Amino acid sequence: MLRKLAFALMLGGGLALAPHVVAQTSLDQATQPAEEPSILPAGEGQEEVFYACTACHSTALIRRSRFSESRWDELMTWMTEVHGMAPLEGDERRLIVTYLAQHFGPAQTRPGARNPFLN
Amino acid sequence: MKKAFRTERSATELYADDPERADALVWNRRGALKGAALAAMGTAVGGAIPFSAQMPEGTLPALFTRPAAAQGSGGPQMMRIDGKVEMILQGERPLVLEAPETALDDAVTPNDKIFVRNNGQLPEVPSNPDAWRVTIDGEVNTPLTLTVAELRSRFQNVTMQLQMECGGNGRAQFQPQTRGNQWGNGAICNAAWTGVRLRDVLRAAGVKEGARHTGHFGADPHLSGATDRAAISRGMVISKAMDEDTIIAFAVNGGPIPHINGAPVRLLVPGWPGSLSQKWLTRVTLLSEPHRGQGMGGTSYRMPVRPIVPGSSNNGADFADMTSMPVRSILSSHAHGSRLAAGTRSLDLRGAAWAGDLTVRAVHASVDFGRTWTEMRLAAPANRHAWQRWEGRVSLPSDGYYEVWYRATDSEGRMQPHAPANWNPQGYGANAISRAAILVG
Repeated sequence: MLRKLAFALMLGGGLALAPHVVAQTSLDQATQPAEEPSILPAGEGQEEVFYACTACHSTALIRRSRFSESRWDELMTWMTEVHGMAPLEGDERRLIVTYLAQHFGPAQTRPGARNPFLN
Repeated sequence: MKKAFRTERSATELYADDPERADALVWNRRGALKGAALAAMGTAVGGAIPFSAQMPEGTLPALFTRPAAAQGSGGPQMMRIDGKVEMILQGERPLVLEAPETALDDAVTPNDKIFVRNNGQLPEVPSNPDAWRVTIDGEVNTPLTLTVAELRSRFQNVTMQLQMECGGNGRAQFQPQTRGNQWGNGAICNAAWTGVRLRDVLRAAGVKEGARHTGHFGADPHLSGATDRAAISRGMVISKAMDEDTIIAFAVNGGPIPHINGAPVRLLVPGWPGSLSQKWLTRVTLLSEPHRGQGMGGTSYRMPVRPIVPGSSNNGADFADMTSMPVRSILSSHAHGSRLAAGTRSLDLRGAAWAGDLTVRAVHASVDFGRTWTEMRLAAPANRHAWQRWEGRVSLPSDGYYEVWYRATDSEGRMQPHAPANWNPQGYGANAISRAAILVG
C-alpha cells in the first residue's frame, strides 16, 4: 500500500486538467524576463544566488539543472574561466554552491509531472 | 528505504541508479512482468500493456522518462514568440527554443519552426542589411571585406535543403544530467537555405598553403555584456570549410533569414554541430592552428575518445572535437503522450532521419518494446546534407498502452543505440532510440 501511495505521489502534481494556453510573447519580453528572487525556492542563499546568477543569465538555466555539490562547484570555476565571471570565493561561494546543491541537487524530483492518461 | 523513496527520489533517478532494484521496489517485478506487478504498472500508465511480456526488465515506461506536452504543468514549458510557433522553452536569457517533434512534420522546415539557440544577446537589427560586412582574413593572400550585396552578386548563388542541428541535441537522455540545454530531439531543422559557397569566397581571398582551420565571428554580444569576449566563436578544419555544401547563407525558404536565426548572413555548416553555423556573421579567419575562440577546447563540443565514467569530472584535454553528427530520427506524426480512440488498430507513422555527413540507410519502428521491428519507407535526401523523410504503418493488436520506438541506421550500418553512449560532461552525442508513449482507448 505504501508502495502504491509512493508511486502516486511520484506521478504527483495537480490532477485537474487545465486548458493548455500559451500566450504570445514579444521578443523583447521573452529575452528580458521579469524575474524576482521568489522564482527560486525559499532558503538561505536565495537572494544571493538570484542576484549573482541573473547578472548574466535567466534563472531557467538554474531551474532546469540537477547537479551534485561538486559539479555545482566546478561550474563556478568554469563560468569564471570560460565566461569571465568575477571569481566567487570564500563564504559567498560556499553559500551559493550549498544552496544550489540543496535545491537543485541530483535527487530532485521533477515537480508536478502527472500522468496524461489518468484523470 | 520506503520513506526515502517516497519523499526524495523520482522513479527516473531510481531506475538510473539500479534498474533491476527499481523494478523490484516499484512493481515487485523480477523477470517478466506478470501478476500484481503487471497490474500495478498498468494502473500507473493508465491502461493495460499488451506487449508487457516483451518489456525489458529494468525499463521504466517512456511515459515517466520523457516530459510530454500532455503532462500539463509537469511537462515541458512552452513559449510562443513573434514569428515562431509554440516551442519548448529551454531558457530566456539566452533565448533557447526547441521545436516539438510534431512541429517538424514538414519536408522543408518553415521559418516559424526553426529552433532558436542563442549564446549571447541579440545584436541590433541592421538598418540596411545589404550593407552588412563580412571579412575574410588570416592565412589568405588578400584579406577581403565584402558587403552582403557584393557576396550575393560576385559569387554563384546556391539553394539547398540543409540539416542544421545543435551539437547537444538529445542531451536530456544523459544520466547523470550534463550541463547545457536539456534538448529532446528538436534542436534540428531542414530549411532551404540560399547563399554562396564559403569555398568560393575563401578562394577569392586566396587560401594560403598553411591554412588548416577556420575561426568564426558574429555580432551577438556576450551574455554578460562584456565587450572583451565573444558570445560564441568556433572553428573547424579547412576541409569542411571547402565542402561544397558549406555556405554563407543570406536567405532561407525564399526570403530573408529571421533576425533571431542570424540575419542578414550566417554560416551554414550542415551535418556538424550547429554552433559552427555562426549567426550574424561578421568574419571568417583562416588559421594554421585550431581556433581558440569561445566554445573551443576543454569539454566544449568535444567528446571522449576513451569512454569516461558517467558523472565523473574531466577537463577534456584528451577529448576530440566533434565533427559529423550521429544518426538520429524524429517522429512527427504522433506526440509522445497521445491518446487515440478505442479500437484504433494501426498507426500511420511518419518523421525524419539524418546522419550528419552520411545518409540514412533505414528507419524501423517497434510497438512491442523492440522485439519486432517494422521497416519504414524512407525517401532519398533532396540533396546531400538534407534530412530524409520516412513513413510507414504499424499494427496494434488491441487497446492499451504502447510505446512507439523509432530507430534509424546510417549508411555505414550504425544504428541509434538503446541507451545514450559515451557520456561526457557537456552532454554531446546522445542519440539513443526514442520512445513515444501512446494510449489506445
